[in-house]
Parts: sequence; structure tokens; C-alpha cells
Amino acid sequence: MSAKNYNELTPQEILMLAIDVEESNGTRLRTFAELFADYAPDSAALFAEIADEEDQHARQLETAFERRFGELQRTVTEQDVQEVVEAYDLDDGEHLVFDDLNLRRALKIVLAAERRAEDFYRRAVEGATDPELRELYRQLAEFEDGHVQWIEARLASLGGSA
Amino acid sequence: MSDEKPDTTPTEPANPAKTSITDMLAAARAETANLGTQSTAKKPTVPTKAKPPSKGPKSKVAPPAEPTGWRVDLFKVVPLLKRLCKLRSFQFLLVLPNVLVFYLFFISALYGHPVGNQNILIMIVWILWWFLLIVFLVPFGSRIWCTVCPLPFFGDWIQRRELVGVRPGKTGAFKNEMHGGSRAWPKKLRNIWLQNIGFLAMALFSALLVTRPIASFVAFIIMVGAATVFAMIWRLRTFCNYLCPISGFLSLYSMAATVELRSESKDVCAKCKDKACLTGSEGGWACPWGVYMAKLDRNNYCGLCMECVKSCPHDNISLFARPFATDIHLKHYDEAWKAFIMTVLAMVYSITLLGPYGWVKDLANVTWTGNVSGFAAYSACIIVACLVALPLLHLAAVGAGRLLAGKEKVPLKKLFIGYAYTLVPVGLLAWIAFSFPLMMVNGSYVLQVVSDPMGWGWNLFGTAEFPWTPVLPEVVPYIQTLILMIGLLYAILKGYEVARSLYQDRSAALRSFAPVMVYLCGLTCVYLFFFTA
Repeated sequence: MSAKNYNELTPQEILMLAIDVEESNGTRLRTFAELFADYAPDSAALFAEIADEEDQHARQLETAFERRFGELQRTVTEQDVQEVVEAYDLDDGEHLVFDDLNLRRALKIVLAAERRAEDFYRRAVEGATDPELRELYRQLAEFEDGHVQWIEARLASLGGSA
Repeated sequence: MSDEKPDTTPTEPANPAKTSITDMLAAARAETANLGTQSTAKKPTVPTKAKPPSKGPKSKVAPPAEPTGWRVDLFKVVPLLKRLCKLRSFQFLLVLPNVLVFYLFFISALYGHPVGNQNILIMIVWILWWFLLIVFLVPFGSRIWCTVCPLPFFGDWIQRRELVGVRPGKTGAFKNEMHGGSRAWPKKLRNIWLQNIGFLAMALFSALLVTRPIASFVAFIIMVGAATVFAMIWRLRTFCNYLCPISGFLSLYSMAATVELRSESKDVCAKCKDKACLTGSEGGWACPWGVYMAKLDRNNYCGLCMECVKSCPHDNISLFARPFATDIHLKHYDEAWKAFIMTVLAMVYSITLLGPYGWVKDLANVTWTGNVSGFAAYSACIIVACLVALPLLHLAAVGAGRLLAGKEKVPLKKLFIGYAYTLVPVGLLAWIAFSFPLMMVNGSYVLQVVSDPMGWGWNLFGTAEFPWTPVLPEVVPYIQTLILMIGLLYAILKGYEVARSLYQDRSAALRSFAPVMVYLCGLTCVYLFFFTA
């Protein structure tokens, strides 16, 4: 199946996609948490914590989906969409990333993913012609924006700017 | 929407179509909290306070950049190459002959002829290997030497308990069954300073290493021993990443190489849940170098073991051909100093080993002359030149450039490290210029020792009596001049690219780079003077 553009998706599929994105991020973050457990324990703990958050978000979205559309069928995953919605990722490809990672940098990694997701949904708002779809995108963007604010607040608590 | 289902949940509003996702999420949150079921988060859930409507997109976060400039996917052009790299036995088949030959050299060092030019260890390693490495393998193969390097052979074996196969399993984050050490390398040593010091130390004893087989034997035994012990204590290739002096300079000069191992699509990597290049999989071992292919943008720390080619579940890793000197960004002081050290040592080697200065040779050959104070002075001069003099000259040029650039101020540290990259093409080509006469003048010794590897009077291939025959020695200075000029040209072109990446204003970039360009020209003149002396 060739990857779709996000504006080809129905509201139901968008919610499925959002659920899959949250779950996938939980998996990624757990991998990072394990990878950095010895090297940067505080960052690893953050990754593990956010992974739990992502799982919880996925369940919230699942519940929302079931309320609106009935039983969740996973016919759309992030692999089926051309764009990258939100993917927690390291910001360095070299082994030295193990050397430089600290809590601030880890939070910035998390923040980058959240901002990217918010950016994705806001761009989707602009491109959507269906009012219902536009509203769904807007609400998902706000959902992500809540995450952004939360991470920014944690960064601010460390001192300095995000 | 036609496929909407009526809400059957009794506690919820009757008309779900009019319920916003935010409301539903709030309800879902409440429900999850009340149930107290699978919520594992210790902290309160992300706040979802009412937000002002739709903000514009945030431009801070750009999608992952795909590489710019031309690249040729060698796996697509030569499918056989991909099939070879995907073979589980790929690295083993390359390393094994190298390991056997390497340890045969040890026998030669212990029991063979004690004079360097009659011993196969010296002639093959320090003449032939060095020539091939610096003239062909690094510029055209990046860190391909690390693919076949015999030094970590035993360490890898200890960690994997396999020579060819891969062991799926779970060891910490790794999805492989790993043995050996799992400790993290001390934080303060997570850089290449030890490699810098190691290479500098080896260079001080270069005259000894190239004339006394037993000295080379001791140096290699220490390296093999360290690689093995490190694998038993620390995880993955800690020795290669942080200690191996050869790895250090390969790391620097691989930036100029015309090949790179990279992911084909950054988006595929971003969406990848497994991160198998880092963690390993049923198909391949976790990257022994700790390289994460999704974000790899330089050759420096990729040892080209090709495990990621095998472990990637998306078949998203490929080998690319690219222009010379594509990676242009040094990142830390330790890398900048590596460039300084290598630049100075290219000159020192040429003066000491090939130059007409007998008194310098005498100072360096402490074991022959017994002149310890002379050797100490020689060593001190080299250390000061590598660690202080050239960095100060560089700082002066960079500082002058910063002043000339005018209003647009870039941090001095950024300029210092950024412009140190210019020493990569200059230094690499200087090493190539040094290596040509090494081979052209002394290459005939290689033919001799191949026939008589132990210096015991054998004549295995009929070349033991091949006379010392320098090849076109009168042409050597012209070749060296041409090579050094190519190095200077690339340094200027790439240095300007660095300047443009640091300054927004083209004119400021040019003014900033001008003093660096002058000192690069001066450096090349010094090379020319000593190389052609």
C-alpha cells in the first residue's frame, strides 16, 4: 500500500493515526530509556516517564475513538502516511550522543517531537477543507500544545530558556 | 460520516458527533483515572487547559534534513556489493586473512631480522600498509580499514561469542545476546583526547617503530591487549571509540572520504520503532560504534562494519559515493586538536624520516645514539608545535578574521573549531604527499621481504635479491607539490563553505575567512619547503 498524504485521511483515520503515533513513541522512548540507563540515568528516567505518558495518551485517544466511532480498528498506522507526525528521536547520530546527553538535552529532544506534532496538526488545519476535519486537527494540535507547555515548564524549572 | 457508530456508552452524552475531541479526551482521562487501571505515569497527565484558538505553525522545528549535494547509491548501482555486505560472514571473511597475516608478522618481529628494512613487519605495515591506507583506503574508502582491522578481533569474539553469526536476545537495551563488558566509559574520557595523546606518543617514537621490529611488536601487542581487555570491561567498541590512536586519525580524515554509509530516507528512520541499527536485531548486531544511522551526518565515528545494513528492518541503509570532503563540520576541541596534531606530524614525519637533516634523525633515534636529552628536546618541540604553536597560529588567524568580519559576531569558539576543518584536506593531502616518496623510494624493500619475511635467507618468490630501486625519485617533488596544491585548493573551497555556514553575510564570511586562507597558504609553503628539501 502506498503511503497516503494526511489530507487524504478521514477523521476516523486521523484519530487512528494519532493513536498509533502515541503508541509508537512509547516504544521508541522505552528503547532510548534502556539505551541511556547507564550513561545518563536522569535522561533515561525522563524517557521512561514520557513513554508512560505516551501510553496514557494513546489510551485516552482510544477511548475517545471508541466513544465516537465504535471499536478501534487499526487500519492506519504512521507507516501508512507520508509525513512524520511526531517521532521522538535522538538529535545526534554519533556515539558521542551517549556522552553529551543530559536532562536538558533530553527534554529538548522530547520538546522537538511535541512541537513537530503540533506543527503537523496546525499545518493540517490550514490545509483541511472539511470543517469537521479542520476542527479535529485543531483539537489534536491543542492536545499536543498541552504537551509542549508541560515540557517547556519542565525545561524552565531547570533554568535558562527552551 | 457514514462509518460513524452510535455511542453505546451509557454515561456519555447522547450525541457524540457534537462532542469535541477535547471533551472526549477529558472524559476519557477521567474514566482512566477513576478506573485507575493501566495508567503507569507517576506524574499528573499533561495539562490540557483551554488554549487560545489556533496559533500559527512553529517554525523552530524543521523536518529532518535530507543530505544535499550529489550522491550515488552504490548498493543500487552494484547490487552485488549490497549482497556481500548483507552476508553475515562479510566482515569475518575480510578480517580473518588480515588477522592471520598480522600474527605471522608478530613471529617475524620476534624471530626475524632485527633491522627494519629486512623485516616484513616493518616493511609491510609501515611502508605498504601506510601507503595504501593514506593514499587509497581513507580518501576512497573512509574507515574501511576499521572493517578489516585485526586489533579488536578477540574483543569482538568475547563480546559476541560468535565469529559469524548473530545472537538474538536481550541485553539491556540491545536485542542481541551480548557478553563481555557492559560498563559505561567514564564521562570525562568520552572524547578523543586519549586518541590524540596516543597518536602523538607513537609519533615521538616513530623513528624507533620503523627501525626496530621488536618496538613495533610491543606497540601492537599493547593495542591488541588493550582492545581485548576493554571489550571485557566496557561495552561495545570502547577501545576503538576512545583509545585507538589509528582510529583517531581515521576518524578525522574519513570526513574527506568519497564514500559514506547512511540511511536512504530519514523519514523511514524517524518512523522506525525498533531502532535496530542502535539496538541490534535478529539480522545484525547492535552497532559496535554506538552510531545511530537516523541522524548520522559525518563519517567520523562509523567503522563501516555493515551490521546496520543487516539489522535494519526497513532495508534503509546504503553505501553512497559522494564528492571529496563533503563532511565539513568539526564539533569539539578534541577534534580540532586532532587536526592540529596530524597537520604538524605530517611535517615532522617528512623531516625526520625522509628529509636530509641527519641531526634530526639522530635526535629521534634515541635508542641508536643514546642521546636522551636530545630526544627530550626533539619531543618537546613536537609536542609544543602540535599542542600550542599551531593552535595559537590558528587562533590568531581566526581572531583576526573575526575582527575583519565586522558587526556580525560569531563566537570565537565556533570559528576556532569550524575553521580547524580546513586542516583536514590540507593535512590529508600532506600525508599523501609524504607517503608517495616513502613508497617510491623504499617500495623495493617490500619485494625483498615478501620473499624473505624472516630475513633468514629465503627466496620464496625469487625477489629476495631484488636491488633497492627508487622509482623516479626526481619526479617526487613535483608529485608532492601537485598533491599539496590540491590540498590547499580544497582547504580554501571548503573553508569558505564553513565560513558561509557560520556567517549570514557573504562579505563578512569572506573577510572572516581571509586571514585563515593566508595562514593556510603559509602552511602549504612550509610543507613545500620541507617536503621538497
